[in-house]
Amino acid sequence: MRSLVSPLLLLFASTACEPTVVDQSQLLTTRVLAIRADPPELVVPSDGGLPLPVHFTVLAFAPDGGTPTVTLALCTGGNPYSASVQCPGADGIPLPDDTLDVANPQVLALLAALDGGLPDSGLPPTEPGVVQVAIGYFATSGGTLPSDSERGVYRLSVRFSGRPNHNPQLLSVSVPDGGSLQGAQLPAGKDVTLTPAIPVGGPDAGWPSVGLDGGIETYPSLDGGTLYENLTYSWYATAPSVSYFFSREPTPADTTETSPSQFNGTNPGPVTFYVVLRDGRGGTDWKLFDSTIAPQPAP
Amino acid sequence: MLQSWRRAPRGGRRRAYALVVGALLLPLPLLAQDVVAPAAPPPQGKLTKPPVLETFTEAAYPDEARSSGLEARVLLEVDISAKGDVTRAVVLTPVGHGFDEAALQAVRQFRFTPAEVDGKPAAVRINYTYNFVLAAPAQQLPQEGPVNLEGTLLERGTRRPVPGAEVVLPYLGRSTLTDAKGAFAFRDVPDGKQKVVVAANGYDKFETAETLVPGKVTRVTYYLLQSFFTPYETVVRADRDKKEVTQYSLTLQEVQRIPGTYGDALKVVQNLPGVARAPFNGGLIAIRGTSPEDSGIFLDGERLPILFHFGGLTAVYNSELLQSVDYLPGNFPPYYGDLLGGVVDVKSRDPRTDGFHGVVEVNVIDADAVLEAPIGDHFSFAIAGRRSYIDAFLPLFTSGGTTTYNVAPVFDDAQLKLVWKPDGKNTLSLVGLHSQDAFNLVTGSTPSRNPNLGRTFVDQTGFNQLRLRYTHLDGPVRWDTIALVGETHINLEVGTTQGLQANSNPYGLRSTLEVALAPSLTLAGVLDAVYQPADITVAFPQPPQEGQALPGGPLHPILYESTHAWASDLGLWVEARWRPVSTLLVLAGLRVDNTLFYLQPKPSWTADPRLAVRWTLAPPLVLKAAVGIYHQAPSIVGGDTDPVFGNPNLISQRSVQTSLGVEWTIRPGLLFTAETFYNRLSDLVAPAPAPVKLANTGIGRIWGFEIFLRQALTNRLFGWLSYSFTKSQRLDAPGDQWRPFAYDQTHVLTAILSYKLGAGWELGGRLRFASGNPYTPVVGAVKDDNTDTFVPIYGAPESGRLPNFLQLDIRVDKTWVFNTWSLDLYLDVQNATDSRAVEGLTYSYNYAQRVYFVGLPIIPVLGVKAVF
Repeated sequence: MRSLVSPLLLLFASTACEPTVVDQSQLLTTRVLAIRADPPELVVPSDGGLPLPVHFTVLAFAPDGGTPTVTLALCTGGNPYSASVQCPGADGIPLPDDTLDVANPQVLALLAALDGGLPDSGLPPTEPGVVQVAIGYFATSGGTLPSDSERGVYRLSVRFSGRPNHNPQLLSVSVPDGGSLQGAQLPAGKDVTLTPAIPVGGPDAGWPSVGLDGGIETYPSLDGGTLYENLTYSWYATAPSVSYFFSREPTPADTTETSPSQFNGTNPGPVTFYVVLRDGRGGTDWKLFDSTIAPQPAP
Repeated sequence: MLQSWRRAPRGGRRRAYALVVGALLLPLPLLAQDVVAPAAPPPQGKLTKPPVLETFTEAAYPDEARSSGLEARVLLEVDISAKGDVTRAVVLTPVGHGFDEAALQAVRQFRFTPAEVDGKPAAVRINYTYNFVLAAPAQQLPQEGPVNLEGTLLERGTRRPVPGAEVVLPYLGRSTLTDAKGAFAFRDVPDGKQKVVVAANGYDKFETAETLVPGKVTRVTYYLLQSFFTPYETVVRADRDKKEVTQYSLTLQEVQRIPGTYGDALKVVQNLPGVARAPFNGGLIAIRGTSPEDSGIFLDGERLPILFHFGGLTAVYNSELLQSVDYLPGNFPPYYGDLLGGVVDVKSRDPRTDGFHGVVEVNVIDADAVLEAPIGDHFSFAIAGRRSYIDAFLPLFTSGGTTTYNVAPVFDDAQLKLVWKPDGKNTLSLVGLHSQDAFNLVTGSTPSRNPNLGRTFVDQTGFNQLRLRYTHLDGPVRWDTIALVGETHINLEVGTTQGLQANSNPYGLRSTLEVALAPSLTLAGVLDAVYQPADITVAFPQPPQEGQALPGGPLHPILYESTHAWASDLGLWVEARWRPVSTLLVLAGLRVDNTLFYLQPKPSWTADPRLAVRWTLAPPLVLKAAVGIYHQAPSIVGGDTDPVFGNPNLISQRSVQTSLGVEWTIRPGLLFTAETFYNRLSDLVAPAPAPVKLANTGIGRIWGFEIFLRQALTNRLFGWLSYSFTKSQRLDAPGDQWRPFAYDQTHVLTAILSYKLGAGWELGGRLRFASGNPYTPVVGAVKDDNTDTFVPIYGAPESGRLPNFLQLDIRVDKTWVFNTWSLDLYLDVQNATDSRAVEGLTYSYNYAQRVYFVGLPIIPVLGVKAVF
């Protein structure tokens, strides 16, 4: 087990002093920034009825300002993160209108055969009464370069029992003067703290709500305990640079986290922020903010 | 005639006046491959009693030289048998004019009282200076009166006695030699001012004058300055039976001055043949292609649970309390077991018994102190402590950064050794060890590779041990028993979701009996037992096996385990050391181990026969060969036998080791060795399909050769050239492709040179070249949208190779020697040319871009050490 220590420490060290590689926050290539499922789980009714369809919305980016073409499919088996599985493609069931609907006989047959997950997918159970299936995607802006496309997987929870999950809700992002990031003038060359907001309240006083209103939910762990959702923000921008790509809402179980990130604009001009909020269980929300990096006043 | 304490000389020598000075000076190779004693599992012995010249034969002064008025100083190397006879004498610095032949003829007739190593009579090699001085006929003075001039010769800076030194009253034509305690005495020295001259081999000439007062005894203490100062006690290599085919021994004199190691003995081992270069100048010791976990680091025969603070900064055992470090890259004897790789056995030394002494060292990383002294005639103690102060200066470099420390990196260690020697046959010692590392950092944001890790990283690791050791030496019998009790703790927290807490209380018992049944046959053996219970709580993904990349992504979920685990190993061994003829040594041994783990269905028995031979073709040339079987049990703390992380049905991994080599002593002090080896491994633990996760399906093959040219420490110079060619490959399961082991480095070349310039200055350099480590390339990536991370797609395991490594380290020392202490100021510059070694690869978030992760830049470490 000590064999994990050195690489993990190296991982942390590399976080503290990253060599010169492309910043994950900076939008330069064709990217899928997030996929939102509505509802975020495929809930199988306990009365034996058919589950409601799940519709997927994709937040994608292309460097030319266009809209990438994104194809979705329900993967039929095998490790969806391997090079040998083609999903979308030979190993996927197409999802017309980006919707997973059991009215499709192929989908129904696959879901009916689920026994702990997709065959050979390796996707582990995450909580009692839930198995995961893979929704594969392929995004392309039409070019032939590797940077013109992206392949990925969204793991959809299929719930057979327990309380369904809900998508979280990103209410706003504010700048230090309390105003919204939308339309804000950001001084070039200065760190600006960007603070997200989610619904507050709930049974844990002083903490973002724990319940059904888009805040932090609790859910059962596999060993019978209760866990808090880890609400994680991803911060994207069309101009450099974001200091912290990830930030997380603190919870009573992890008080060290802080939700704000920082931005330091280097070149005056317009900048668009894509802020994505995930709950770690498949729930997603996002907002876009158009701002301006303002030149520094002459001394 | 040699004079003893309180016995004045009978008469001055006339005309051909030989000032005889015998001193035990850094004899023979201190890093030798052929040092073994039947009396001690560590082959290097401690000189407990120097040889004393008992029968002196005066050399004939060469006529031609006398008539020409020539004087001379002839330096000889003399071998003394365990009975005190001179068995060999050679001139090291020929001076001609007939002096060399005359000195040789005289010295061959000398007789000494036997030297003792580890309390037993032993053969030793010394340097001896025969001085030819033309002197006027001495006055004939009465010499049966009382002693009125007496004194002690001590070494300047260390206060060690100087035995065998010549104290001369030149105007009286009288002289005497100091005894083992450095004492001398003259009777009936005339009143008034008398010139005193002291000559001792290896020391600067000392002259003074004393004024003797009628009716009073003049007592003096003289401090002699070493011609080339070293604060460390000399360890004499005794010519004893050998137990290992291939062994390299380091002594403190050598390890303290090797650049880039900061005087750390265990890091110096990394410069010997067969050891892979450790990344980031860390503390890993990977021997002959195997993983660091496959080799064992022992202290006095018992394993150390942790070797270095923070994985490689400084060893947890103070090098000042070392006697020697023995390195066995393979084919080690049955005394050692449960290992597939090699052995590093650190030997602690006993506290000094010649007064109160200490060492204080301060450098930019830590400070440490050692104190030692005798208590009465039979007790002695040594105590040492070290603490880092990285926590004090780190904020200066991290302020304003994104990473903060709740607990800054800090480490400390302590050692205590009590020794009781009631008589010459029995020794009882108690050793206490303590080590602790701790830090707690908070990164500015969650790691981009895994946002669920959290921002905190906590590591608290340490151990405490008590070791009680009893040694009995009685003629042909040696009995050595060590009992160990300890506790080891690991607390590792990665964010709030992953972590490892392991607390174990190991118990160890090692008892070794050696009996010399006949001059040509010694039988050794008995037991080596360990019981290790541990409480382990884990929340981690499946840990990687040898050569696997760090697990991650949704397919590697966190696994949970909380258990009370235990493991036991009872090893019984026997070895015969047989010398059928004087030129042939046969070592035949057998080790049987019984291992049992919690949840293991039944105990595992392994039997390891081992055979080695050394054949002296001619005195400077030795052939050696060995073959043996070796087993290594799976690790409980590593999770190998756990049902959640591993497989309780795992059996011990196996290796068949073979080697063939030659040793050639080119000239005294200059040794050349070459050795080729082939190791076949089987039952290696490898990943397996569910549900077992691990299985003994791996096999391996390791072969290569090693070349070593070493100049032993002389007055001014020491160094070595080491080259290793190694190919190490493994196959995890039938049908897989052969791949390199993770520490496979085809070429490793190390050159070390240290030279004493004089006036206390010493300059050293270390040049290292090594092939780059293999790595598993990333050939693609698939995004996991739920975590906003990318999952890499790996190519063939270990199919890539990092660039080669080349680095130069330099060290400069300046030593000031005072009467009772010395001060060493040093500058150790690691990576003096500031070349950026490639230590790994790092990738962009989507693995589309990769860059090299470079190692440490030039690091100058300034330190000061006081020895008293």
